[in-house]
Amino acid sequence: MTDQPEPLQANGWYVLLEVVRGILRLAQTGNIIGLVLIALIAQVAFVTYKLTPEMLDRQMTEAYHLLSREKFYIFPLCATILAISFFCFYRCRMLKEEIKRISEVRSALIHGLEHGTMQHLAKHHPSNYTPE
Amino acid sequence: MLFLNIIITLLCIWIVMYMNTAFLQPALLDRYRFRLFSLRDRLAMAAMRGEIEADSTEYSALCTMINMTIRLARNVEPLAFVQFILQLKNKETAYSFEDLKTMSEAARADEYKKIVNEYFAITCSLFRFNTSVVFYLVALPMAIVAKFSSTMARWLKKFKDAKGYVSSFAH
Repeated sequence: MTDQPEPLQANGWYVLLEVVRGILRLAQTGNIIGLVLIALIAQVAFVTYKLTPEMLDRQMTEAYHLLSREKFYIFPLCATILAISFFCFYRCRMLKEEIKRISEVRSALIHGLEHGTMQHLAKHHPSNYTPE
Repeated sequence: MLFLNIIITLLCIWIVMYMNTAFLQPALLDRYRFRLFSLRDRLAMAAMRGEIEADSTEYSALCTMINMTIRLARNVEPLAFVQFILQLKNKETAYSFEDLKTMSEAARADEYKKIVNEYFAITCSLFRFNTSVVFYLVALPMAIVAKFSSTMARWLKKFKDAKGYVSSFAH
């Protein structure tokens, strides 16, 4: 007979631990927007639970009117375009800086080796890094 | 109209989340990798100019450490970077931060000292980048769960140990 590990009991603390682990994974991959969405959903759930039926009815009506507006979709679309533009601009600027640095290093190496101020290295230390 | 607005909003959120994961986060991480590549190039050029001996232990140790950090500069595995720093602290790798610090103090070349100091500063920033969101954003739930879970308590202790260790070299 083999010793089988005892199955974990699915109690409240186990569920809480799993939720924290999920949030950790979400944060680790940089999905801040996902975390903000979770926080928003939790807040809406909490407010809905605390509101009186009359207040809740009023809030829901207001939210319905806001989402039903004809031009509402312009806001998320503009925000998305702005965010994507920022991502692309940031990445382009960073890559340009790196290309500039590499060209400077290359130029210094060529001049250094040509003029004899630099010598070839006997041993190379590669990082063995492969981009994901 | 309501249905269309909700669909467009959800679609926009998904696009931004995808772009963040696929483009912005790798770019932020590449910023640290490029700084480490730049350090390694400076070190190699100093060795080629004869300021540092290319076959010395100091040179090999710093190259090894920079290469290890470049390989680990990713945020795929949760707490992998914390584990790496702890391995350095517990001397489970060929060289530790203490070894580098000792070599830097004994080195004659100013360039070598500067590179070592910059390496410590970059590693410290990388540590913060890899762990700060995780630990500060969910610090409260973790602290609460740590009271009831020995695993969470161990994680928190490991993080504090690694953070204290890496920070002590960056100043």
